[in-house]
Amino acid sequence: MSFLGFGNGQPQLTSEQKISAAETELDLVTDMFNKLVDNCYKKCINTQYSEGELNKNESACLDRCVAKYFETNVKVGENMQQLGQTFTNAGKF
Amino acid sequence: MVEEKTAVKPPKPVKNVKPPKKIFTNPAFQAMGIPAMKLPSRNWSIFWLAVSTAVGGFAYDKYQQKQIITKYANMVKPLAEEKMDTKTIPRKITVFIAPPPSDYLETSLKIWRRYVKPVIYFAGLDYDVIEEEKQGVIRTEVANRIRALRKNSIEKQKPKESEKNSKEVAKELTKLEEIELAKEYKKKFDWRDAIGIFYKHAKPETIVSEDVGYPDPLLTGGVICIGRGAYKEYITGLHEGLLGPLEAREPEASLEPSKNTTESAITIDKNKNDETTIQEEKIKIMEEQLEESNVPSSDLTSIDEKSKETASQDDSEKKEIDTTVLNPFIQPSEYESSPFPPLELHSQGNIITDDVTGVPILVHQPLLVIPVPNLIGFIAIPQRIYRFYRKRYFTEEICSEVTGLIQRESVRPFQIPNDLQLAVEEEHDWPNSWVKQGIKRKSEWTRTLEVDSRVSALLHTCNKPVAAEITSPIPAQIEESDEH
Repeated sequence: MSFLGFGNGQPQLTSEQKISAAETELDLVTDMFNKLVDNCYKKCINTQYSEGELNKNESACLDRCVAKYFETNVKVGENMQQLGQTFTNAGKF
Repeated sequence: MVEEKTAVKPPKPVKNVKPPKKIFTNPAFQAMGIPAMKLPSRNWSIFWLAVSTAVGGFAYDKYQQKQIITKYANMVKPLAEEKMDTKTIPRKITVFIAPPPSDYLETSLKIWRRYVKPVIYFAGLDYDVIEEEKQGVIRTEVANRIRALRKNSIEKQKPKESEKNSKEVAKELTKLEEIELAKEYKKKFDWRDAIGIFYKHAKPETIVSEDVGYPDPLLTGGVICIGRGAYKEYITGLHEGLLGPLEAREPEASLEPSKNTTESAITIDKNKNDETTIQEEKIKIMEEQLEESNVPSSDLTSIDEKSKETASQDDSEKKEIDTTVLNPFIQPSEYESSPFPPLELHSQGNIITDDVTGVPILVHQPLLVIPVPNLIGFIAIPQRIYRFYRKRYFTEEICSEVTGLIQRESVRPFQIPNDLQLAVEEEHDWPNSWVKQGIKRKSEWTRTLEVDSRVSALLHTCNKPVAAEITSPIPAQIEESDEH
């Protein structure tokens, strides 16, 4: 399974498998996106709602929050991938 | 014998002369079981007085620092409360942080975190921090940015023939090419299109920085250099990027500062003119000073580290080249002979803008230099204590300068040569041994900062004007020919 496009796709997959893989990937990304929106919203948006629009502080905060979230997510994903590989390799011994 | 003993015996009644200790008590307290209170003895009084003065002084200083930071944070807060469109990104301040000599980066980062960052944060600005662990990273980074811009503009001017060719070939695909195409598709794939964020709202075509189209292009963005070394490297990097060639020279011609420690000594002997002897004398004097002050040799860490690093680099040079620190592409002596503005950027006029964001490049942005006062060594302890209790003045100075940068106040054109000495007071703190080694190894920190008038004419700063009499304690370096 490839996570966020880091999987090196296995050879010879049927189209059904491909579709299901794509679906899980989309699920994962959607899930991550929802969490991201949730977290950054909680972190950055003032709940007094004095204005309808974002002010500079909030936008800057959101920018940083999203960037950090993505970066962390990618790093965690890479690490998990490595762990998974070592795990599967170890299983083959 | 017995008689003598009795004669030596001190008179007993003297002991009883000592007044009885003053005791404060009350029958009511006694009834409650509270023991009698007595004044602390003389020694205890001294102890408590000393401790409370030390702690109180520190606490007061801290409290004042907090007050100062909040004051300036409140001053810039209105800026952050302005509305901002979702299609714009805020003004960006670029921060260069260099560690003080013979110390860790953390020392400079403390100044950034405590005094600079809060003000920038409350102003709702974006910032880009570039830090270095060894000399040359900042210079390389600054120069690389400008070089990338120049390379891009060359590519843009080239006619696009290659794309046409690729389209014709695209009709016949082999399997390999298909895989390549798939990879490219994956690279360009935007998840935002897939998960429906832009289902109802149109996807913004362009994200524009606030700095683009600001009425005065000289007041956009901002550059903060924390540390005198960062400032020197930043200025050198600007020159290297703007005046230097686009590609590195042949390795024979390049000058590795740390490699030729012994060679430089030989060259000094070779071209022994008056100037070099003066310099040698100065070095000798510094050596003597060093011996007098007994600076422990362990203070040389950063240079030692550097030399170790370069040594290990030499070993593994063939394996991988460290791209974070490149040798300078151009020497200060060659500044005059190179064209400015660089030919590729001629079309842009007076203000050179970034090709991606459209923001005027770093040269045009106002510059703020913040010194990192960092004394090290045993002998300097009284001075260090004095500074420790007066940090609030430093805080006030820095915060007001940062606020000035953010509010675009007091931005003035560069004054040469006075402004080359920005934050030069920091150099008085640099350990002599370190400076000596830096001179020997031709470190860019100990070298005299040289600028080209065409580049310095573009620079702006919001530091306070520097008095002409302030000079660097480091003896001026003599440019030696680079023929090694």
